[in-house]
Amino acid sequence: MSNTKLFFISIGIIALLAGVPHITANLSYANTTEIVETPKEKIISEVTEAEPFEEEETINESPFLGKWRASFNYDGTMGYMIVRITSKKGKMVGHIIAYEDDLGNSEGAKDLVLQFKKEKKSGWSAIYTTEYENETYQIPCTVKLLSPSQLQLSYDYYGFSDIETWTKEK
Amino acid sequence: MVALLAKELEWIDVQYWFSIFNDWSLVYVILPFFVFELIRYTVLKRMTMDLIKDSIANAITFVAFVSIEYILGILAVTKLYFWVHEHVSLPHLPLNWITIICCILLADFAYYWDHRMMHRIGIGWATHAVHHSSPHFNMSVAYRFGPMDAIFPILFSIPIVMLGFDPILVLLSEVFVQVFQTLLHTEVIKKFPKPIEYIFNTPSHHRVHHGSNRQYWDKNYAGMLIIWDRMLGTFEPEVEEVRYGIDKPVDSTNPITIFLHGLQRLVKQMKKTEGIGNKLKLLIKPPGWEPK
Ligand SMILES: [Zn+2]
Repeated sequence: MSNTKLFFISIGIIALLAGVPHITANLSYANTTEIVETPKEKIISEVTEAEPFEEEETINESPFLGKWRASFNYDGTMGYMIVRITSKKGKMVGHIIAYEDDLGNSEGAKDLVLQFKKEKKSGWSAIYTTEYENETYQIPCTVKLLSPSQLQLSYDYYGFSDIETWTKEK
Repeated sequence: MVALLAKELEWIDVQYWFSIFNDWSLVYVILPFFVFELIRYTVLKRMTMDLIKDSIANAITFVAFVSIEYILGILAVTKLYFWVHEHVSLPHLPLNWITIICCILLADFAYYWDHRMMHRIGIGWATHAVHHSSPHFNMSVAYRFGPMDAIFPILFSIPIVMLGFDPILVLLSEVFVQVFQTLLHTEVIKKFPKPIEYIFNTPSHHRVHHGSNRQYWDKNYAGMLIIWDRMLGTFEPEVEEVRYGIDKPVDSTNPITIFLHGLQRLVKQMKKTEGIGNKLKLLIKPPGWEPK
């Protein structure tokens, strides 16, 4: 088979396999932006599905909720971040609310850092958002309580692996 | 149906599904299958010391291959992938079934070309010949790797990242194809029903790829789908009984000899060849090439 023929068949295959996901992605994006008005009944049913009363109640009691202090080392600067874990629509999320350095200087923030996904035997599986050399990574991790005032977050992700211990703030 | 395939998925679930095949298949298919193959060899009175030593050597080359991959730095490679993803990529694709399926198919197509290149240029064959040098054919042969086998696939997967696919999804898809390919290294399964043999790469097609019979050279490069070979003119069905190995056998079960024999032969050939231009040409010309 000639090289030109091999080249054009290959380009065709690549265009097809890359084109299909791009086109469907654009179509479904167009679909979601077109439907601006959602029928009221649907909103109501979605809301009740997402936040059943009992579930909200149990999550409210979750020992994860509250303020936590985590140490970090950023380019050699040691410091702390204060993370507030709250529950929104029945899902627990953690936001960084402040950074503090060793000298006690602090700075406000509002970055999403932790999204709880599923409860497992070994703890909660979650997504940890972190920055490394100016790139943001979303790392699957496991979060579990060591005690009511200590939380352990561990991950092993393509060479990044660590176990962090966070302590509860009063 | 399309809506279902286009529904956004959670990363954590996707990684879990991949791990069932990519990681755990070693425990629930590959090892039990290898044990079955060993029993079969014993029953057929084909169990020899050479076969045992060959299998051990295969496992050792695998350890060497994995160590090199670590030294190269999986982190350095993934960082390169992430850099490409952020800076030289088409719009990033959402994580859904359509994206996953197309990514696996692209990884499979990349595997075809990577594999074809390893057979058709001198430096590629210097490392890939290790995989082909076993005179046996069983699951353990799938783990027989050469010293640079981890490097060439990078050249072919970076373009997939440039097409907008997530680097981690590309890596998971590559491992998926590799694990599928591993399962083909067996003499136990003769042939599947015709439609399967038509579309998929099967043990029969892959035995041909490992054949030293002249008509079987450089055929059936496929990973998962044999249709790539059918479309690109490299398909050959299994007719004559396959003699496994390469035309100039290594005749050794020493893992170091096996691991380095391809490179050693290439260096020897380069020393013998006159002229720097010709020496370099040996790296990119097909194996066996000689200056006129
Ligand atoms: Zn091969």
